[in-house]
Amino acid sequence: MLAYVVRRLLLVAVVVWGAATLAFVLLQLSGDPLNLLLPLDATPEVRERYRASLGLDRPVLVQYGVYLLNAVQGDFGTSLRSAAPALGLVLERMPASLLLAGAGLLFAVVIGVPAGVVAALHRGKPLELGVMSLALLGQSIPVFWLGLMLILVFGLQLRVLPISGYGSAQHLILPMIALGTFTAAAIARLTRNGVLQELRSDYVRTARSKGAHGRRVVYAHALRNAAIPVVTVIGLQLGTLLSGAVITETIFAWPGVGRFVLIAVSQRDFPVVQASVVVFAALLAFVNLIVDISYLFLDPRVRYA
Amino acid sequence: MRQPLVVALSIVVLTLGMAHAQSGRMVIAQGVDATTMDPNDHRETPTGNVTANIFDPLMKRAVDGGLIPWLVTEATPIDDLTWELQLREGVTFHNGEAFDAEVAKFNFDRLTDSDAPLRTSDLWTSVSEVTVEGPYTIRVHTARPLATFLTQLTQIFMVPQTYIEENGAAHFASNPVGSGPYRFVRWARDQEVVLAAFDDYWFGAPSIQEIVFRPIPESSSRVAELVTGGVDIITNLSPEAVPLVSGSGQAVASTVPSIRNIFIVLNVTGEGPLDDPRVRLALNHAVDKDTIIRTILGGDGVANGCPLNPYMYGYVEALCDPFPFDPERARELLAEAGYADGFTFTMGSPDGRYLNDRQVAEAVVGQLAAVGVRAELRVQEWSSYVGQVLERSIPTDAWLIGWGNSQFDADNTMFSLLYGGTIEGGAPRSVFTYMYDATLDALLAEARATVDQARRAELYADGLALVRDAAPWIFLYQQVDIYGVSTRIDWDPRPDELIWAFDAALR
Amino acid sequence: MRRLVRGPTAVVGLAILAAFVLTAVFSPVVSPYDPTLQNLEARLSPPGSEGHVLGTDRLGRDILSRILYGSRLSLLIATSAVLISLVLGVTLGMVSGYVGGWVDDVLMRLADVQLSMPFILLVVAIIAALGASLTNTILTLGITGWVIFARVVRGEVLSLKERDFISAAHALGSPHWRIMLLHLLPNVAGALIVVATLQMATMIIVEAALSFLGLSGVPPEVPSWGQMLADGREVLFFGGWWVATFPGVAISLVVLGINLYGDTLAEALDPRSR
Repeated sequence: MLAYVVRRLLLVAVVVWGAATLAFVLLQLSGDPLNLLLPLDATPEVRERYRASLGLDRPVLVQYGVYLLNAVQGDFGTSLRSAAPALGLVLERMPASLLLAGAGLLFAVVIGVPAGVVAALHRGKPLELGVMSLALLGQSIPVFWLGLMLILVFGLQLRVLPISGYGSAQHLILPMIALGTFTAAAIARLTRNGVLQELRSDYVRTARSKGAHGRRVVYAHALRNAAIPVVTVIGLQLGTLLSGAVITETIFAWPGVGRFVLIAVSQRDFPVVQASVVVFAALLAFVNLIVDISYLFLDPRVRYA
Repeated sequence: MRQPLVVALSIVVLTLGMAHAQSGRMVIAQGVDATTMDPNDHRETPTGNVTANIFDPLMKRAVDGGLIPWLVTEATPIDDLTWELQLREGVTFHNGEAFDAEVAKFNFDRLTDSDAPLRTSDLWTSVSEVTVEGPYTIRVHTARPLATFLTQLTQIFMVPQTYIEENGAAHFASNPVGSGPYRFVRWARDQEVVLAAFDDYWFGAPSIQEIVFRPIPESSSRVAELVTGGVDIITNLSPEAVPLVSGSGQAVASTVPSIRNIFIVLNVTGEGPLDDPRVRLALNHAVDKDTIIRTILGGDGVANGCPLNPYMYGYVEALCDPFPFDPERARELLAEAGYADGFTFTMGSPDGRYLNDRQVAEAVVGQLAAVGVRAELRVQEWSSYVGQVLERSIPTDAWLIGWGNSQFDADNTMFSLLYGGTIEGGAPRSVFTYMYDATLDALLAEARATVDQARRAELYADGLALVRDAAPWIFLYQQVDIYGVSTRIDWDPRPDELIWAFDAALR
Repeated sequence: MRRLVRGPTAVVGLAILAAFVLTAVFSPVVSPYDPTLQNLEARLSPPGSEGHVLGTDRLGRDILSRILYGSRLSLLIATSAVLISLVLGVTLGMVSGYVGGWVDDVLMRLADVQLSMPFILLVVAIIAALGASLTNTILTLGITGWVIFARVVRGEVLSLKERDFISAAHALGSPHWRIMLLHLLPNVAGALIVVATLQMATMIIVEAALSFLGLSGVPPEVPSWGQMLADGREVLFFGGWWVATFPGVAISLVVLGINLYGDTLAEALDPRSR
């Protein structure tokens, strides 16, 4: 187990390096940051002076080397747009992002798992059709459409919830629903399929034939085994929820990392983009690690050498 | 669906009234957050809206575009290369530091230090030295005559020397201290910037006690916040939302013609139909600016026919009338040029950079089709688009862009956008220029080196006449900025796109 | 084959998809107007006015016609993007699972790297380097979608590899490429079809998201549902709810159809449920 974790941690380092390098290459491809940093009519001499002051006049390989060297020490340089350390700017926005992602995931699990179980237990009945139709609908609504509709209904017409911003529990509700709905639908469908499969499996049949009652069978056996694909999805989704929350953050003016990175990319703020990619990569790798380890507890058949 | 919504809105508005009304507080929502609190290290309107309230410039822009002496009380040209500035006495920064000639010199030196350029440093490249002549007198020496010196003084904001020297520029950029009407309280990035009234402001205490700037990127969300009383002023209200905002009873739309012109640059360097001035004139006649403005912009736009607008020094009304919409004339001109059957060209446009920019570009394409000219539109995300424009690698034959003249002076438009660099040993051509006219270049170069303002006006008038005949662009309109303003606030928008909270009061 | 269209959900899903494909093919015949025809004077006409069943958009174009034509683009984007990621993902996943060892490690870490890259950075880099165009948008979507295919294929291959018939093929001296192509691929096809179907739905939604962020390379005169949806959001609350609503409904409907049918496929092709 320990050897496994150590090996995985080493791989995390490799992935983070890979992501940092790919981000560097992509940024180089994305064009000259000076274009967006200075007024459009800045003279060539001003541009070059500025370029030199930012160290962007050095050969690309030198820039790459310096970037890696500093990154290892946690220094990603100063944001080109804001005179502040890039890593700090990214980390500063992590609490808001984690809060939103966590709330979205919680919403998804709280809605999705029971919905899936109910659907599986009522296979072939109208209740299943209803629940699954809703789940499919949840997966087919573009998030910004849903977000704007939530604002229209709860913010503009009923006026029971704040429209945008950050700070109180009320502010979290609409973004949480907008972000979590898609995942809730995915989890509902996976849970249903998982539970159905397990119900058909031999050991559940055995448990049933021994007289165990429906509900207990579901909780003790089926749900536990059906949890594996669900946990996988949760792991995958947490990554997307973090960086993929751009649209939700935009609509609700949520001060998260997603929107910040979008702006950094569109402003070619190289240090900020690089810092955020490294933070994402590390975070994602850790989430994957936790997911894999949780298999150990969920499924006795899984063993890591 | 449409009507019930209006009814529902008004009922709720009536019952809830001013749910958020807090006396002495004004919330301003813009699309993005500020990037820095250093007033001289950015060129962005949203950031400027915050810093303009914390800091004082040397000259202030009047609402009609003129200049008001601010921290400079008097500016005297000693010769072509020297300006003497008298500074206002009795001005103190929010931390108690006094403003005087030494501080002013520190400010200029900070901007001309070539090792650590700031983002407004390019305005001052011709300044060679600043000398202190008395406790409140400085002289600015320039290497060459700087015709736009006075107007540039609106873009230098005084920062406190001791505070910066003691705390460093990085600390200053997130914990600013200025001498303006509001002092800095708090900045939670991407959430809010909070400012409080500086009661000892030399110009008088501001009326509103607290100003909050909030970034709300999505325009529908901004509007929703405005009509529910969550915020008091929003920027970039979409024209389509104007009737309902005004009908909500909670807010009104407030407009002002902006310093920004919107136009389509024609790439005339290549071989092809656009090389012929008759074709370019035809395109100008083929576009129905009035209809575009009336429909897509909801009436908020001023059609024009030259690179300048009335706020700018050098503007001549007679040379700036919009080209009349005249498809017949357009067809005639096209036929004369040998394109009776029209031709095809490509056109670029950003999406969301300017008010309804993409829709305007699409409408222009539709109107050109009516005279047989097929324009293929390619829309691009702004950052790539502007990169291509600057690197002159834009793949289209024409491209829509806007230009907000920060100096309110013809030079900042004509030289920046139309100077072709044909003068031997003179300045290189400007990035935007696709027009190479030696006569125009001579006029523009002379104007920028002439301190005699009457002579400059003549030079620009001659230049405008040349530009009008050559029609290097499809001239569209002067943008009108639309703000949504809560009915509890008394405030008028300004042409320089800035929100100066000192002018605002609660009703 | 009959299993593939059994049950009401499959029928409904298939019906929606068939309608979608037919619309795409026959849009010029069934559209009441030229989808690019502007009429500024009749902009933002509500549904039902003057022959515009679903109203007009901000340039006075007929929304129904644009939705009908837009199905072509959605179909084109979804299928080509999925094809690209399918080919990429299957190749890499197959090699990864079959060869194993360090190749597997490298390819799977590559997948991790890909997943941790902000999608926007990739989009912007491709736009900046290659320009904004429909092809490049499809390319971007295709490139980002390979990981899920690769993971599915790899997982299946890992378990298939140990089975007797593969060992037998080995023993008989079949070359590796032959084993992968003739023995492994047919056995993962079922799972792939399911993933591909569901990915098509994702691609339609992602294209809409790209339009929302102003990063779609689809030319403006070509109607795209995503672009219509993004365009209409400015007037959603005020003055023209129909501009964004109908394309939104179209997207939801098609995605719903794909998912419904995809579910049926998944059950039909899942060996455990046979």
